[in-house]
Amino acid sequence: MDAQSLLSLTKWLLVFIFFLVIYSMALVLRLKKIDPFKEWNPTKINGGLMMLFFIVGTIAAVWSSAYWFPKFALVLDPASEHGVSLDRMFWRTMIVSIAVVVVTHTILFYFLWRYQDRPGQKALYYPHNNKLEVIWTVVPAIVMTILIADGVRNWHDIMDPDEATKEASIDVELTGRQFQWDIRYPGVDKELGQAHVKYISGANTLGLNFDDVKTHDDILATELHLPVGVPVHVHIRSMDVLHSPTLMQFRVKMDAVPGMPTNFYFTPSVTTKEMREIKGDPEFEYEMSCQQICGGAHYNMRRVVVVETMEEYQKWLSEQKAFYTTFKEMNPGMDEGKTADAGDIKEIGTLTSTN
Amino acid sequence: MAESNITSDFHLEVGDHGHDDHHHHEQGFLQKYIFSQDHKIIAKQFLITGIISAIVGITFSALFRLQLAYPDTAFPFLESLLGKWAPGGIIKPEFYLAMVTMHGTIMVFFVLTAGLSGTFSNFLIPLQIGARDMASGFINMLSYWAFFISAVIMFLSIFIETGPASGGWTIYPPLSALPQAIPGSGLGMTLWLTSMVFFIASGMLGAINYITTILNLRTGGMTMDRMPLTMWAFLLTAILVVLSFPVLLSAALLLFMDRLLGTSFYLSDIFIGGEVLHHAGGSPVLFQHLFWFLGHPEVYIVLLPALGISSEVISVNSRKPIFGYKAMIGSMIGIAVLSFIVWAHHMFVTGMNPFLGTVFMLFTLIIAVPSAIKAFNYITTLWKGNIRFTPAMMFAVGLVSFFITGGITGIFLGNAALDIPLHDTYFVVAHFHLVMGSASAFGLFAGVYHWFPKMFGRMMNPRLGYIHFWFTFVGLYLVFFPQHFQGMGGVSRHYYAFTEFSFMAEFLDLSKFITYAAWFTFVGQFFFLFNFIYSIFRGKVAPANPWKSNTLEWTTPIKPQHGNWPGEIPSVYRWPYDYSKPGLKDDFCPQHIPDEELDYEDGFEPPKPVKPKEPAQTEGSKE
Amino acid sequence: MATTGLNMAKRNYIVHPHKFNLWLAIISLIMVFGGLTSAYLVARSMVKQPEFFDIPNLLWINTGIILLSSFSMQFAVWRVRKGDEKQALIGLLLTCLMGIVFLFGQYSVYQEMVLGGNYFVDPMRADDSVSYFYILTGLHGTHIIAGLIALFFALIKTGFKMYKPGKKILSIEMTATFWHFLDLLWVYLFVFLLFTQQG
Repeated sequence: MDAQSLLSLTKWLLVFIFFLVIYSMALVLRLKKIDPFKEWNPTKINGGLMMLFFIVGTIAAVWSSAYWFPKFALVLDPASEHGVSLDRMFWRTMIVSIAVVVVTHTILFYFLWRYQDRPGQKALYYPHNNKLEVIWTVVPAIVMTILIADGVRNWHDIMDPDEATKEASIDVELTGRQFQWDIRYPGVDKELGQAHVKYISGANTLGLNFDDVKTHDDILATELHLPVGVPVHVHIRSMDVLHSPTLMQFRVKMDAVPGMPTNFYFTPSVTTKEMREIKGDPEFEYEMSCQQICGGAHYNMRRVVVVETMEEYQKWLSEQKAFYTTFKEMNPGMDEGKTADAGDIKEIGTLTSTN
Repeated sequence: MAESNITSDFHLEVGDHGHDDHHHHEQGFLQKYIFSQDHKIIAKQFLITGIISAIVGITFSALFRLQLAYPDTAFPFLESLLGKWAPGGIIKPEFYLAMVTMHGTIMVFFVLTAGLSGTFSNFLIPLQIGARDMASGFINMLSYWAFFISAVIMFLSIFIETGPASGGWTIYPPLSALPQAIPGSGLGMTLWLTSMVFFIASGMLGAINYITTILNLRTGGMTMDRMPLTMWAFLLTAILVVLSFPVLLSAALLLFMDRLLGTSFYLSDIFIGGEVLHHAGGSPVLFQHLFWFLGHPEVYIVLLPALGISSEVISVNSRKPIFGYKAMIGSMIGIAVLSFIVWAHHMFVTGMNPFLGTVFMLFTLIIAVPSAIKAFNYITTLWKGNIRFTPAMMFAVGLVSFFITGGITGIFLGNAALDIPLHDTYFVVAHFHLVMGSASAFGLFAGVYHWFPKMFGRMMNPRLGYIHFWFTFVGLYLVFFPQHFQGMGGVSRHYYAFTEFSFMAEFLDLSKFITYAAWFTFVGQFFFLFNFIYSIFRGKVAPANPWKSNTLEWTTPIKPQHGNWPGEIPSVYRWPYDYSKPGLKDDFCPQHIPDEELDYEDGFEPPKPVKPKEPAQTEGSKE
Repeated sequence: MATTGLNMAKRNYIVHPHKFNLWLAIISLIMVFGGLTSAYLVARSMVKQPEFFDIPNLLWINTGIILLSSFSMQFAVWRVRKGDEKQALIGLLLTCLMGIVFLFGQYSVYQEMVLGGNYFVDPMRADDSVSYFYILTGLHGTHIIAGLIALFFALIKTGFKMYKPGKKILSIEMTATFWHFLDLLWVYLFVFLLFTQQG
């Protein structure tokens, strides 16, 4: 037996002896009918503990919030335009929430401590007070109305951007599959070609329909590059199960639904470089994740997102090769005996996207 | 009554049971404890099955918390425990998801629905409204056994080759429909659905019975506005069950068809495992609509009984009438009604029509109003009370605290715009674990501590109860409060490890802390378990009315037999919350004692009743 | 015993608890079919171009049969209340017969559908309206079978004169309620299917 296992054995033995001692003590006390805690008044102790819990809890909550605050990347330092107003709304709601929790808990724990059972004390018979009820119906209702109004406005702005934004936007398609994201750019014609699972064959894993000439210049990338300050129209597809492309720092999230393309508009407002300065972290990268449970490697669907200036973006884009070209090189002679006929391109995708 | 001739056979039937008790007719063991039709035995069966389920459910959480805290560390004991699911002591990602799914399913359905509502609805409804038993003891028995079969199937599914269902407790297709997507979606998912069909049957049989019993079998004088709030809570819960569970059945039926026969209700345009599937025209979003039409009321099916129990416990132990009895009922009705028109707030970012998002946000945030009323009423009930810290009271108060802290984050998540970033992060996890998980669990504990003397005729040890409370209360806050921080850092739900993303990796330390807290809470539960089992056999024998409560259940013998009251069922003369009524000698005033028999203080002129109310003539309820 | 009986008379009955249970069960069945039909509508609204199929005309006849059976059922209940078991028996037998004929009718409808190329699982179709047709009618059919089982028991009870007029006729009344519900449910489903197949 080596020293290591001897040590661990001793540890367990000590624990065992500890419990044995406690158990035998309890047994002795029980047999002798001694109650060592007889003098303890449970009401006083618990009332006091409630107050203690409140005080220590408040301090702990404040301290820990302050400690973790700089890491709240989901609600601080937004990197998109709508993120600014979202974060503002978040913190407004947060202030309301903190106020409610602090006020109610102060009263709750004060009452618990103050109105402990005392001999001879009789409680106040106070079954109802309609004025009070009205107050705490109306006040939350008003607060809620304000928050709803704010929420509706923001929700509308994000989900249904104005025509100008739609016009100016660049397209990019994110396709989720187990377990990776495929990123597709429209190429020079600025239009994404048709794609559907039924066209999947060999290396054409995205199912591009090469009969549609618009697909011929489409670019597949392994990093999501976006120009700063330009609206992006994200087309979202899924190949197999539900996914949810999440660009956390941009406050972007929309489920990828098989059979039903979805989309999301947003405008990146901070480049990766600028964000590195803000965070003081030269290694910082924007990251894209999946937030809808999709299988074993759900936790590992990472793509790096790079936001750069328009020039950098154009330069990067021009360095990318169209997928069709690569595909043709791999499959020589794929077009023989087949002519691109516009009539072949039928309306596909049986489900309409609802937005 | 007009129909009394038709209903008389029913009276005879129930009366016969009472007759049996007079002569202490002995039933066989099987009839008395296993296939019992007595609501009290069935309640205990529900409770014990619920506790066993809870042990399984929280053990899962304790294990997967290890994985979240130490994603790269091998725990050899896990391999001996889980076998091939944890080769070398590291849990497989697929099994991590399976554990999360089982934890969710077991806790939501088996513990907090059947274990909470099943136990206390069965136990309290006949006792508190003054009935000999449920409207149909047979249906009630079926309800338990359907639940039992459901639980057995679910637990069996853990041990099968491909593992249990792993698509999250919400079982969104296509993940849950395609065995190619995750191994748990094979046989495990089929068993999950089968188990849920039995569970739905159990829930509906039970709920139908609860509603009928409450509406039809109240004792004389027990009008609707004299019922304890527990009864109102159970009634509304049962109504929610009757209206929402059938829809889950429809959803499950269609999913069954998709899985077994290859229809495409939820599936469309799928390429998986190297082949294109034939499914076309279905929509996964449809499933989500159907699921959440159940799923959201389900949240209140879990929560309302806990709120009812805590109302009763808080009122009894602060020796004060519950503040705003009618407002409490009104807000519960409001919550119940609203719960049916808010389901899509779980689906803001699923590609649903944005206009719907606006509507659902509106309704969702309105729920904050009745919830606020309830919270403030609880607090006002404590004001100038005479608070006795029984373990039940402490859990009830803990519930109020969780209800507020957990509920308040609902305003963030119900707001469609804020839900975009927060959806499926730990912020959501923290929210529903506090408001639905912890609060309801505290309702369950409060109920057990409070009605244990009635159930088993013995008292639980209060000291162990206090230890259990402080372990659980502090522990749960330490677990779920920091999860808000993780959520605000963007840490995602259902993640096997936080190591792959730099913004999530920053929260690894916090994750460890949460795991320690979870184990702390886990260990604390053994105090309860020991106390519960020990007290059944060796606890102090309970007095008739240990908490000096007004309600009818304490007028029965200490261990009520089949039929509950050996003689006549007491009639009711007032509402159940006359605590510390001025002029009375005692600080409570049981419902069944007529005004003229009350013990008044010297020199106090008892109020002359304006219209003497003879309960024997109370025909029909006031609704 | 006497005291218990006396106490029982003070109940706040509206209807007999077992009947009340049945009504609640009917409500939950309404929710099942309500859920399915609304699922159909939602699914339909998501499909770009719904594909229609012809509802077999035989369904009209089936509808007629099930409607008629409701009358014979109610007739039987009235007769039992009057204590006329013989005629009640005839009414019940007729109801049973029509129920069985209805089931066979539905079966022929399925045959006709399959012959017409409308399959339950059809990879070639772009929507699932046919699947919904089978689900809705099939689920209704299983409930008809449940109704027939209840009818069978009522039949036996009537045959052995176990109903006491004016008193113990609970189970036949409940059977009748359930049967009428199945009838109305069918009418709803039929109308629903007719209208959804006309764009």
